[in-house]
Amino acid sequence: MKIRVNEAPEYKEIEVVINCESKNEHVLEIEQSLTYLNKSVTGKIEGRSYSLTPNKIYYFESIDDKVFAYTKDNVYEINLKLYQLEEIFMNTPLTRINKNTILNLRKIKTFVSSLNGKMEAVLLNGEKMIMSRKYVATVKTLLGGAL
Amino acid sequence: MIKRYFNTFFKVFFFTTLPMILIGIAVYRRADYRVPYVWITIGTIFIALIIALAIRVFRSEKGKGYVNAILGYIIIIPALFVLRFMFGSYLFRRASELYILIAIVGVIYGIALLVASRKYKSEVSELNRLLLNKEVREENEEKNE
Repeated sequence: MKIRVNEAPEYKEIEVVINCESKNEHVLEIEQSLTYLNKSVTGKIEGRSYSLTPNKIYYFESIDDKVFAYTKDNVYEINLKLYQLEEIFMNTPLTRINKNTILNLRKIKTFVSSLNGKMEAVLLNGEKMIMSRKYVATVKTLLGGAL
Repeated sequence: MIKRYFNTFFKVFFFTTLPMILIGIAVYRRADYRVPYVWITIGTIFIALIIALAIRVFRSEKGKGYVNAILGYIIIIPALFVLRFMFGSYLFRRASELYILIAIVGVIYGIALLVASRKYKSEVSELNRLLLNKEVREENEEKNE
């Protein structure tokens, strides 16, 4: 795969064109990676709005009808419902792992299970998120495993 | 929380009713003593309530997994006392029989726990393998670039 960057003042917006022989699995993966970077949501901290791209987000959590986005250092309030975020971040590594959480699979360090079957995802920042068994199959598929 | 508990309770009640009726019939045939149906129903409700509570504690997402597993077993034990209260000496001729039953339930519980934990561990290692593969794939792609 060749990557060429054309830099010129007349380009006001970044445009990515994929030239390929056929739209195979590899091309689809590239497309998904770009989609991952292209989507964003607005988060608020103390009234100030910030644009959040998925690569910065660790997870979204719904607490008392409010949705929060957690990054490495900050917590942003989001004016969207979890199901709306699910739709926005479809075909990206952000997926539902329990009733209240959408997790970025790229921020997972490892998975652990306990004696009573509780499954947890340990994140890169050391946080542990409980993963419901209901969503294990979806996570497997997104990680490249068969159903 | 309450809704989930009662959901579990109804399922447990459904599955406990038949064994209780069968034990009632067995007691009637062995000791010629007919345990009142109301008595069996009330006892089954209590047993189902206890088992449902044990299941909810066991599956709780709060607290340590092994603590929840131990608590689950401890909570189940009173259900056996309810069973003794329902059928009395017709089912348990000696007091020691109840303790033997508690030990048997403990062994079954332990085996079930071991089997389930093995299944969960294999599931987790599968997820970790996929995670590692994905990371390696992405690293290779970056190197190729």
